[in-house]
Amino acid sequence: MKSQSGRRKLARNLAGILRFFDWTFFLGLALALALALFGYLGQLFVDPADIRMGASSFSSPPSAEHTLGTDALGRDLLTLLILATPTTLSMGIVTAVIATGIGTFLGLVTGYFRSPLEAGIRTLIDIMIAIPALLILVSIASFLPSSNTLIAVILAIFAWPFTARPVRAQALSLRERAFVKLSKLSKRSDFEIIFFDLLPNITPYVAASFVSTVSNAILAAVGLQLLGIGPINEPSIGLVLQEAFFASAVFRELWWWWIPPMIMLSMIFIGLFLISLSLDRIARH
Amino acid sequence: MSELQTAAANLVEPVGADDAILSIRDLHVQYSAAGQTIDAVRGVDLDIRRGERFGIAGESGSGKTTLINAILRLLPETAQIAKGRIVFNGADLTGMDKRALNALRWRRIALIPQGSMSALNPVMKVGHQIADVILTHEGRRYGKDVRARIEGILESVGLDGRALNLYPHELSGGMKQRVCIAMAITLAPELIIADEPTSSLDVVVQRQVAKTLIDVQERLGASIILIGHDMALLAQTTHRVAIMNEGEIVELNAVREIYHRPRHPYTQMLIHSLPSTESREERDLPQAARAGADDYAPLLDAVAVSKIFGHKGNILAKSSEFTALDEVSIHIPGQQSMVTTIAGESGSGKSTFANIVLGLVKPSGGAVYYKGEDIARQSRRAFAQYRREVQAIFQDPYEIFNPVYKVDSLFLVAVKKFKLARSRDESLALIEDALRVVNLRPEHVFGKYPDELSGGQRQRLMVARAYLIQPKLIVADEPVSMVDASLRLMILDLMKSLRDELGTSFVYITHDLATAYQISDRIVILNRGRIVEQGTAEEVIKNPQHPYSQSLVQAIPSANPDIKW
Repeated sequence: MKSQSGRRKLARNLAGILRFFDWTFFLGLALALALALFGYLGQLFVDPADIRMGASSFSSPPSAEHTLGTDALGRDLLTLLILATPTTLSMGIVTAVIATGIGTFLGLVTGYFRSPLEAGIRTLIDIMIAIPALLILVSIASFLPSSNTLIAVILAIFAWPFTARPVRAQALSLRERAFVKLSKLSKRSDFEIIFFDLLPNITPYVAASFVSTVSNAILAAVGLQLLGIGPINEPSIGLVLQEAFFASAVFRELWWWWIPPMIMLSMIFIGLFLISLSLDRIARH
Repeated sequence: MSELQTAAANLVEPVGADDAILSIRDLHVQYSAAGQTIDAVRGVDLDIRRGERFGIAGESGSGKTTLINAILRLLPETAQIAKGRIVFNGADLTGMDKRALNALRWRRIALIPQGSMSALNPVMKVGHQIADVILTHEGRRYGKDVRARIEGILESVGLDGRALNLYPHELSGGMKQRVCIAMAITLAPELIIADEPTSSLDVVVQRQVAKTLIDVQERLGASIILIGHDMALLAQTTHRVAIMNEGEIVELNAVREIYHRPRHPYTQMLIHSLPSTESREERDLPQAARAGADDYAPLLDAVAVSKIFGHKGNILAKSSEFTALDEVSIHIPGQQSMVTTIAGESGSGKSTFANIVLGLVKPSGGAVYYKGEDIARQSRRAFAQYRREVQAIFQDPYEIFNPVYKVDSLFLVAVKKFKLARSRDESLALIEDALRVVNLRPEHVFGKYPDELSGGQRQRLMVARAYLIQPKLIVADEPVSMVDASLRLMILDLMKSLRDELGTSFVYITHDLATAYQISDRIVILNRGRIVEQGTAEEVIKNPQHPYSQSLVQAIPSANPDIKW
């Protein structure tokens, strides 16, 4: 009996949370989840041997044997895309975890405290925002041994200020609210106030910023690949596209080579965009 | 037969008193939301006479604002007039179409909205906003004659005619309010509806603006409906008053009758809860304590406390320094629990002083000593003790709660941090006890989010928190300025009993000298960051010495309509 009422309460709380979100959120989530399932679950059903060079016939159109056809190197494109998706998604997520983590922390701290250090970090944020990240990335990527993890870290170094700035603005306004004064009177320490009083109030901002960082990081990584300076030891959606363009797939009318990865990228961007749009609306509410 | 017919016709076509400009008969207004209907106005009958100043008083939620919105047909879409008639000059407003209403509003019925500070368009010059009214309703073009007329109107509300070239942000609160009055009287309406027209103003300005309003109303010969929660202000400004409670008019009478012989219990409560400046219960205090300079160790000593906001100028920026407090010294004796009022208008520095005493803001100069120790320099342990013993009641019940937490956390954090209880049961018992003191039932507030509670409930929770911690000194920053009469009475009584039974001293920060007179032992008057006068409550209110204190005391509206402002 008790557990039943507990379950009912849980259902009501869940309904209360879901009420915040609108259809754009769920559509976006569906798109992103579909891709994640395609990549992370799909890995379990494919044979990595299918993407060895010359494993099958070259440049054959979609058929019963090769659902999405093969590329000019004789690799099965469906397998290739399935194995490329986790790399691309993971890179976006790793970048976003690092960038949002640093950005949220520094944004909160510089917004809450007033000190010379704060002024220094604030200036750093402004300078970092002004630097064109892709330019730096291109120069770094061209002489460093390239790996997806390294690219994710470099992207995060340039991405955190975009989280830190809005978070700092929120913290600046929140710290003046009376509930912060009251927490001080209740002997809460400054860090307790930052994490228990300020952070919960900016969760929607952080979430929105996380999602848009994922999408920006993927875009930047794909950009690097298309320039031909991305890592080539692991399959990624950007790499598939780069190879397609390098092999003039468009002119050779090998449409099955470049259209599916384009659709997948669009799904990622549209899905994440819809999610962050919806989160943004909640944050402003 | 014909006589009977006439009588019957009169029954279905009730016309108010002969000289009534507005007659309301059996008005019901309903709000419907989420399948529920709430009766906000229930069977109101009213006659407003020509040239009359009519007050409608009531606490928040009494339906007074809904009533005037119904008169103006400005109800939100969720509300509708369920029944009744509103007859203005023989025309029924309830059935009127939009076009007819638009012709009527502003030209014949004008509104001075609540919080008219924000009613003015910030990017439009004052003159243009008034010109808008004239041009829209009279279909004229802007020219010298319109300009001259606007100047005349501005002068009639006590402003310089040249104010028409100013933007709202260049005006003070009182001046903005005057502009709103000017806009309302531009087309010489027959009825002016003023919703709390002076509630956001300081007392001295409030009196000037109220007098201006009365003055222009008398010159125009218009009627005016004044909505207010401040019974003393209504006593000073109106001829007749209707008392609203829960959507009904519980009493309607001439202002003297209402104030001297209230009949309905609710009216009696409202009248009796009014802080009087005529008499107070005198406390037995040692002479030394009263003089504010006893020989005992002081509880709190503020010595020459100054606060300068902003920063010094440099090559890049102009100096933006602003002195909020200028060498303020206040002594709170430790022997006897006392209430010390810091009174002043907005901008006087009183809230800055409160924040400095609470250790939330560091003074630029001087120091605050609690039990002999400088609060800015004390040891960690002494600071913890000081936090435990010096607490606050803040003003704004909407701001004091973190919106992401249930209101319980306000108490739970305090219990945990001050180790008030050893077990969960013990802490619950303590919290329930504190809630009982402010007449709240735990089951009504526990597990609720702040926006699910009323402003009054939130203010009570704030007071309950202070009670729970049982500090030695409570800094109460305008604890009753935003609450209804009944709650004000409760909070002030609670402050007294804390003072007498638990020996809690108070620093009462307020702009309201009437409640200060009722509750405090000493009053300190602040003006622009400086102390202009301090003394016992009796001395300061009955015999103020400084011209500024005199003007403040004179501006307190008396709850007695016979004592003229």
